[in-house]
Amino acid sequence: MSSVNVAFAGVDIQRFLGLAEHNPVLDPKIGPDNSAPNRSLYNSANGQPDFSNSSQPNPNDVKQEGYGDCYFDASIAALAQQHPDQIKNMIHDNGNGTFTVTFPHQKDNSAGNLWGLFGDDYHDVKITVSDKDLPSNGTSSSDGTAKWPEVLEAAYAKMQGGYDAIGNGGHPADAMTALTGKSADAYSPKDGAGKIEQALKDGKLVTIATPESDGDQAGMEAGKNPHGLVGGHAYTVTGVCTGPDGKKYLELRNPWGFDQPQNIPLDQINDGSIDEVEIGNA
Amino acid sequence: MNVIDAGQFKARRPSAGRLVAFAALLLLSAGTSAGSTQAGKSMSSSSDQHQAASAQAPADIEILRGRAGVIGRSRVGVSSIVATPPPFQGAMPGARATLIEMRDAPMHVESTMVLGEKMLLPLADGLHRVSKLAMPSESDRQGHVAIDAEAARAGSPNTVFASEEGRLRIGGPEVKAAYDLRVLAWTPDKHAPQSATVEWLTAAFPRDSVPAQQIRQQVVKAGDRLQVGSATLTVKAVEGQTQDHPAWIEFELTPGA
Repeated sequence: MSSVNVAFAGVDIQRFLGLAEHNPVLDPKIGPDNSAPNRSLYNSANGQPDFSNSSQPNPNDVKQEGYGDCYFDASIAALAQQHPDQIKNMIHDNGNGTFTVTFPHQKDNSAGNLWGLFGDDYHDVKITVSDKDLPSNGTSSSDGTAKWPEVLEAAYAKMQGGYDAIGNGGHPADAMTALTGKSADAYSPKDGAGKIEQALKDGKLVTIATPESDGDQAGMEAGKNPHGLVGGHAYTVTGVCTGPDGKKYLELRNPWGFDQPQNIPLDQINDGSIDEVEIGNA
Repeated sequence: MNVIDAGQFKARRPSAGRLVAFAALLLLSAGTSAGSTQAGKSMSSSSDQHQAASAQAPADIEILRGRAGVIGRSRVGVSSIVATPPPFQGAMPGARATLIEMRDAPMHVESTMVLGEKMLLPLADGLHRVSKLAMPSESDRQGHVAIDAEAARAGSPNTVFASEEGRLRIGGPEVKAAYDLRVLAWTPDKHAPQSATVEWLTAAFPRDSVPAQQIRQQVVKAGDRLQVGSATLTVKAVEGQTQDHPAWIEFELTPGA
């Protein structure tokens, strides 16, 4: 297939035609081979490399670096927490330095489906990436960290048309749907607050997103988001707990892997610090 | 959906109208080339420029606001960049950034600092100069911080700092396993302090929800020791605000068993 790389009226025709899935092009800025011998696909519970592949993915393996894909990283951390087995099912280690990632039940927008004019069609999308595709500043590129987040990230980038396509912002619900093949919804904090605890109990993926601006919200000092949240960022909701004052609190995880925010009182998530709650089926 | 556009988290792309796409395909098949610029290109131009700039100036490491990078043995995140308010004394005019450094050795420690351009950022391998703070703009949608890759002054992984407006987190990365330490007061003032009052408590919950008996306060001067969780912090110096840094306490960190 010749390179068709055009956009019209904001629509990525290449992707819409389904060409990206079949003729992916990786971002040329991808860094050196990261197949360091001390890195395994999964790490053991104590964070040590496990080359037997018997360990489980862990949210703490996700450490966002240079790409602006917090929405994706927060979503894969949510999946690792709720259904680590699904990640293991998604990634097949081909044993030759390549991994085939299956994104289940993706909507087919290709010409072969007549662009869905006669109804939607869904199928699994398989993307193969190699160690050499993993970026030098990806999701977990440090020595000794598990590779699965980078493998998923590389495959997602390949499916979407490159790192530039995923690394400059996006929506957690879209990432959740790509990961699970199931629907995901976004709620205002007011509407979402009452759904979070049950959603986590039901095994759903839950993230929150913060407003972009630092201090635009009424009552906030510039640069200081309430609860220590980074602006324009996504966080994984890892749990709901009870605080020392008896109130319920949200437990959040920053996809950076550090700068974790304090637990946030559930009755305060509508104070302007959170823009949206995303809940995805899994 | 109540979603705004943002650097990393952004509004869901409206689902493509099939008729629009069909029309686009017809235009394409008719040989139209007007849309030969990929929509995503303009979005990525800022990061491309930064990476190109980085390639030209390897002495600087640029980190976009809202993202994290690696400098030596530290991971550094930029959580905000804001205009410098007039009362921020001692800082270069223009902007100040909230930077978070994380190091894993000798134990998990995070230091949050509010710094201006040309000030020093303490990392595991030494003090690095913040060479540039760029506010978000049309051409640099996120804004970014450039930090000298080479340490301006040697340091040690066991040396950690608690600064004016900052926070020193000991333990973690999960908040339930960490303590946050802040400086409440400088005595007699932040320009020439002889001692400082510090407070530390669990990092998991807001201060106003934590029982008073679980909040520790202590006045410290050089030579004093604090027991924060399993770690011991020994005060090496209490330094006033200068052009190079905000007022800060320099500690020697000794991890617990």
